[in-house]
Amino acid sequence: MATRAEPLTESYFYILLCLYEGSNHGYGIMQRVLSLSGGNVHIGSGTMYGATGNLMRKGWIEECSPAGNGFERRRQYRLTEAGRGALQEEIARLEHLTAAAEMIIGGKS
Amino acid sequence: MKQTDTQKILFDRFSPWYYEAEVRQLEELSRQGWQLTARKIWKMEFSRDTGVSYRYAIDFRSGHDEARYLDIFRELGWELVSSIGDAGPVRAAGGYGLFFTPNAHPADGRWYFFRKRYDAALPEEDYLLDTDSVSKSEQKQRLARNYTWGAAVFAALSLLSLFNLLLSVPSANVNLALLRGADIILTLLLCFMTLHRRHIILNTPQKKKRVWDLCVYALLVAVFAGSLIALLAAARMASDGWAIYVCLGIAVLCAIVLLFFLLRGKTSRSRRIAGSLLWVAPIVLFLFGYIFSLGLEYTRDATQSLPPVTAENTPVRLFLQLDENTTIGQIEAQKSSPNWTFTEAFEISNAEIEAESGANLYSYIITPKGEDADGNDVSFSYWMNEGANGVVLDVCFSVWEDGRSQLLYATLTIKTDDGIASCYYYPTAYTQWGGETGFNLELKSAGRLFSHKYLLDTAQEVIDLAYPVVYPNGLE
Repeated sequence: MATRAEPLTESYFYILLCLYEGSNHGYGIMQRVLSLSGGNVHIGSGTMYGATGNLMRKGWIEECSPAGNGFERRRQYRLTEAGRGALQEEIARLEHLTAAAEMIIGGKS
Repeated sequence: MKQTDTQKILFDRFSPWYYEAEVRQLEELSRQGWQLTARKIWKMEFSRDTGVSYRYAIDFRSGHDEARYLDIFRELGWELVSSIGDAGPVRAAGGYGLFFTPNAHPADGRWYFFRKRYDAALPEEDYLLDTDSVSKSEQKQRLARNYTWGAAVFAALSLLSLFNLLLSVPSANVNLALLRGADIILTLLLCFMTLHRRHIILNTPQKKKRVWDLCVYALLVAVFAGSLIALLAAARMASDGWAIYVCLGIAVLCAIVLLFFLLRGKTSRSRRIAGSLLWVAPIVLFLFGYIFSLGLEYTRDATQSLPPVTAENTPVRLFLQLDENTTIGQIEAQKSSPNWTFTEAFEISNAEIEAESGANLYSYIITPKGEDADGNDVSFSYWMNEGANGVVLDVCFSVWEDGRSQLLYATLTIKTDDGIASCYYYPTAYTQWGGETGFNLELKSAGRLFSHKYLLDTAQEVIDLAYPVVYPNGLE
């Protein structure tokens, strides 16, 4: 039997989602996540470092050559194929959860 | 504390387990216009600036990619003020700052002090480092790991001391026995304190208790000083003096190498070596002390180190020839002045004697004894020997006073099931046990990890060499 993947935390999910749009740097990810979550999810520096490190270890994201010069040459991260798959799995899981909730609470059974 | 109009230095040792309390302290000082410019192990440095207020964050990392770590913090608006290297489990075990190393390799751990300009318009979350459950949990694990290891190290040391104490000769010098006992208590105490610090660091809110910290310092100094004294004392006694110089030489060499790497080490490799030496050197030295004293036991020249036999230090020896049906019921030892009586009750059957002496080897039994009327320990030993005319029971006893074997005249009576047995009493002429011999050999045993049976085998060899037994007529 295939092992079921652990659900992602909000921070991990939003970081992957944000990188789905294209490569980004730490500050950009933080701003985009804040925007995507309607101001509900802040990603602190410690969380950002730990999350990007863990996601790189899993092979879901990777560092890529930074664009720009000087201060703009920030570390960029991009989604890998494995990361894309993990994100889609998570989205499917969340859709299933929502559907189940709709079925019970929304009376769509 | 030193203070001018523009500068201020607070002498305050960095205590990792109070890191959250320290953040609150720094923020309070910032509101008062004192902005942190440097955090050293023993002090905080501030400059005066009332036009700005900072929020602070203290973070611990080990085995991390420092460049990427600092990049992310900088991108998210944090300014690095200071960092302090951390020697890992050894530091955490003591938790006392002595092993903080300015040049520690990142793999050994490092505390970072960040600040961010305070803006009331920004949400409070902007000043948090860990904002989700995973990173909060990882941070707690990082902080707790070293303390868990530290507690385990102290628990292991405590067990080692206990093991050593149990295997020492029962009549070992009382001061060393106390030292071992103190070792056990102190290491256990340190183990609990390390766990307590683990508890503090994992629970909020933290509250600084400096008096308690100072007590821990004093305790640690006592532990390390005590261990060093015990080691050197054991080395000195085991080797008639010269091993102490070897031990001291190794200690000094380790210290020089350590200092060299700490002060001069610029590469990650040399800093790594220094970090490892911090905890490897004491352990090597500790083990060396044991192993060294073990090997030296056989090399001493007994004929030179044993004292001459005189009437004053001669123990009482009694040779008893047993017939086939004799069973010894009781031995009493009496001394006339000051009066004391010691009675050792035991039984030996003839069958046991045959079994014990079948290989023509003596066997011995040393039993821990009681006290005489003056509170001195009374030591009593006997062993059997197969002589030409049958089995000989060989008895010897001595009184321990002020840590030395004071061998005194006494009257020995052996009661057998046949009544009072005939015995030979030779207080001066047939002595094996010299007072100094017993003293030295038993002290040596206190620093080693093997049983007293082995020790007594060795002791007997030494004594036989120095004082050959001359049996009375008819018993040879």
